[in-house]
Amino acid sequence: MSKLLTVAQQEIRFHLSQRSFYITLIAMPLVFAALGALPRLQNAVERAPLPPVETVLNLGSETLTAPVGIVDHAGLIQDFDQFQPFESVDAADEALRRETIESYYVIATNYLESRQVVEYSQDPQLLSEHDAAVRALLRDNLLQSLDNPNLAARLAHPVEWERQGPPPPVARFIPADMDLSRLVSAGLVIGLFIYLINAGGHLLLRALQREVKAHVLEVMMVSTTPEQFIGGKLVGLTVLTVLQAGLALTAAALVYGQNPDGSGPAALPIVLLALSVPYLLLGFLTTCALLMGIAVLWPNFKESTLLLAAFRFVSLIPLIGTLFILPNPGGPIAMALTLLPITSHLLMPFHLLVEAVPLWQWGLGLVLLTLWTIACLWFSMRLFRLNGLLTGRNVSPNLIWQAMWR
Amino acid sequence: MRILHIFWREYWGNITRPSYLLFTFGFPLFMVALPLGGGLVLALALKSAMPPTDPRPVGLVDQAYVVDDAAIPPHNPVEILFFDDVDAAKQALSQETIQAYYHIPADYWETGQVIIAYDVAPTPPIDGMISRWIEDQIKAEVPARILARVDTGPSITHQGLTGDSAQFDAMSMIAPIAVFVVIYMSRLISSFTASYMFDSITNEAEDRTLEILITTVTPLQFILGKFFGLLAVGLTQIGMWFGAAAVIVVGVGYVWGIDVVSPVLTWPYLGLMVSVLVATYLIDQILAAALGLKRVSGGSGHLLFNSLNAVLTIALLYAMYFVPRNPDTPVAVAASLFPLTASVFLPLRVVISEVPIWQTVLSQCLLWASVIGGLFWLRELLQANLVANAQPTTWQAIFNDRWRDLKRLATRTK
Repeated sequence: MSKLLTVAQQEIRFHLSQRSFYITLIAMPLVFAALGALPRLQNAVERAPLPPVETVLNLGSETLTAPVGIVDHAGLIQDFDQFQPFESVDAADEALRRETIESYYVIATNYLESRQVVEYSQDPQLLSEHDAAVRALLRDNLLQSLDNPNLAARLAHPVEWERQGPPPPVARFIPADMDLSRLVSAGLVIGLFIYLINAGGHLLLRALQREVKAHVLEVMMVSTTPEQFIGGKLVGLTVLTVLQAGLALTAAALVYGQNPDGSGPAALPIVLLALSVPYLLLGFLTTCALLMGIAVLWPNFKESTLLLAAFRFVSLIPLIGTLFILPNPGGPIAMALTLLPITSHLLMPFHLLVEAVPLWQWGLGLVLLTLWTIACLWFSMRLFRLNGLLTGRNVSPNLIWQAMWR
Repeated sequence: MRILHIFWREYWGNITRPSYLLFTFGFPLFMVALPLGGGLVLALALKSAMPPTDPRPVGLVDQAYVVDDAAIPPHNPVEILFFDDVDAAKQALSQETIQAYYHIPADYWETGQVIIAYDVAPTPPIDGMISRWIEDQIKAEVPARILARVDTGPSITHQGLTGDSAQFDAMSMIAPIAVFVVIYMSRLISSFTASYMFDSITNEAEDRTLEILITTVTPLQFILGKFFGLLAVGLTQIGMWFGAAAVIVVGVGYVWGIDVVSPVLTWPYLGLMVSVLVATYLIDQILAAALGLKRVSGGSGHLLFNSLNAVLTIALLYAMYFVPRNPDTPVAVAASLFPLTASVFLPLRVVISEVPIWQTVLSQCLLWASVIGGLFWLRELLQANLVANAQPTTWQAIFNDRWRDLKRLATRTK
């Protein structure tokens, strides 16, 4: 036990000597708390008189911002609205050269068959900001050309429903009566958990590779058992993770729910946070155990970094479960997802924070997750031991299987 | 011969790495599996969030004569039963033979209003079915030529005043999308290969293999061998991805009878595109190697390398969102000339606007001059790094040395 604690102490000491640890330790609670102020910032930006920015996403304006001409060879346009009509191309060309217009459009004689319209300008480009206005002009004039004005109106707006009964059901992931600020709080807490779990796994991987690179591992292994060595590393990192999580959650608990207008994340209930933290810790330990397996099987740092990236992506997959929990929190899918050990470490805290969960369900989920974590840790310890046994030999699935039970 | 040894060692060592194989084969599979899997999950989630559809039919009372008697009514998701008057429909609703009825009143053509009566509202797919059917009946009243133009709108071509100016029509939209995809994929591959280069140089410099190597080969041989080895690694990856994509596209085109090869080969900007992408790829590798060497003496290489990638990603986003609207702003022109960002901005600008020829030529000259200069600069940096075992090299010292050499050369020329 004392050796395990010694390894843990050394791990903590190493991280406490790193400048980056302190930067993260301070920055994370600040960022996490600052997210609560985002809605107020958004309100301030919406009130500020900022000019619109021209991007590919806001190209659909039907209002002209500069003088533009039209030469209608098809004779379709009755109402030129905001455009300047020209009798001929020469006249429009002259106006363009004198810069009284920015560009002009020529509607082909056989427009109804060919769809052809050409815009002439000094600096032609693929996306013109006047195109949407020209499309609207042509559409409106074509509808006006119909004999029956009612037909044109119905073609533009076919149906307006008048309901004699209760409002229709709406397909939505978030129930109408759900408190959105509570949902935001739950989302932020889950985001923090994902970050801490991934960061902890990464630190463990780096810690093992650090020892391998410095050739300290061989020396350590003769004086400690794999359980003591890995256990020590995990205890050290868990202490640091709990410290980070505690600071971030305390900062959030102090800030969230304090916006005077009621916007932003809701206040974090301490009891629910306390019920969520065991899931975080068990999820953290499971992730560390699985990553340790990666580090053992692929000790090359470059290789394991790529696998770590893939693992991080895979670790986000349980979040898809929120789409199934939100519409029906009490349903069988939601219950299964909060009990399943590979998803419960994230989805049970999420479920707790958005909707009440029966205590037996919380307890059963915790028991299942604990068993799963123990199995993962055992497996990774065996793999770690196997790493020593298989030194210098080509690793095959059969060899791994045999070595696992020796 | 020694260059070949270094080249082969670098090439073979990298393309047999598990991470390389995983990325080369896994990434395209991932890109295909992600939308498929994501779509499937989203569809399942949507289905679970949707209220169930009542299978009973709905009624329709048409007092505005919108529906043509000969028209075949839709029956998906439920059947439609016709009633002559509202009372009959009400009775059917009270007897629960129908779940709701839709009443098109006599003044529908003026108001557009349709009344829905029900106890429990029909689901949105049923409303959609009725709405679409009414819309189809209205469209049947409109002359086909006008309806076609109202539905599809004009095909607008943009062109300059002179006959030889650039033209942009609806088909031209394909070019910027294709260019963006190619640029994005090239940047991705380039940054991935550059990280090989960075790690490779750093590791050899860190475990002091560099010094051993350098006693048997010259710095230029070492750099060229490594450089072209890693270049071949990247080209292998590009070849596999783009080759597979080309086989699929050509195969699909062949089945559908579409010639997709000729438009690519006759595309006027193909040469420019290849030149810009190759030169930028080389610059990325040069910078990665330089930063790999810098890490040994300065320790800031990794940070700079990541920062550079972040800046280029932001440039790509900027080019995608803002440049198509305003392709000739000073920022866009400057970025087209600057060697590090030219590969993002110049190809995009030439397919969406008329770029002056001097800008294209100057951009190319700057780009390739940077490549050639970069290779020699890399050799100097390698030597400086070796010499500087006792004293770390600084960027300032390297540039000062070059400046001194130039002054010496100028004096000799005089």
